[in-house]
Amino acid sequence: MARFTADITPHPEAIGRLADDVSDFLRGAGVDARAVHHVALVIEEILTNVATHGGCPDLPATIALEVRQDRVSGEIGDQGRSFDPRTAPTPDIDAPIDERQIGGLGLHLVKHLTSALEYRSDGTQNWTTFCIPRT
Amino acid sequence: MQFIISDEAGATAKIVLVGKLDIAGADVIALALATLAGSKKGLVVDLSGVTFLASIGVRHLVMATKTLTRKGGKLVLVGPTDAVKEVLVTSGVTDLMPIVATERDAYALIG
Repeated sequence: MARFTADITPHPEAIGRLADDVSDFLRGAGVDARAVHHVALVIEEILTNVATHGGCPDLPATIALEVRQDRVSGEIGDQGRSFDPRTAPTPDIDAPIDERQIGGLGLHLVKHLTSALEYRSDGTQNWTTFCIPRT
Repeated sequence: MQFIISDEAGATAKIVLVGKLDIAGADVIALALATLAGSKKGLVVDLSGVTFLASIGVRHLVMATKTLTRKGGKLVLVGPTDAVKEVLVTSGVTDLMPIVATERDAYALIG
């Protein structure tokens, strides 16, 4: 079972580099291109959320991934404000352009692309875990 | 993320985006996209060179579309890869900004 871990300070450039490293690792582990893209996107969206809404973008976050036969499972630990991504309001993606809200899309993508999404806080860290199916 | 703008003199402009339209890439294109949306009637956005699209990139495209639509204009996307197209479809924006295969189709649609 291939495993990837990394520490990151969630700044924009670092998030981009991490998404590249994750993609390289997953491709090397034989994961299909679509799942590679989904994992990179989910990590990017969760870390972008930590960077923009977490309140402490200079505190490091940790990422761990495991490649399993039918899925990629991941865990992100961050020290930002407590936030359960599962409770984020769902944006109305059918609204006409005038009424279309521009927020909330990132977590909408995360919920859509993951087959499992869990969250817990241990008082100092947020732990977001997810699974993304391989195809 | 890099971009090239052409046809600046007419009512319709084209912007070609190349690279990752992620949180860092969105910062690079934000001003150019907003300026074009504010000054043009039509905007052709060539996505064929975009390798990764995150929600922040979609937000910038939606904001530009809002600006153009308010004055009766249009934003058309050209040639996204399957991965990028999937993000656009999942985000529910393909009814706001049409996706076409070629630049010629985009100009025809804008008229």
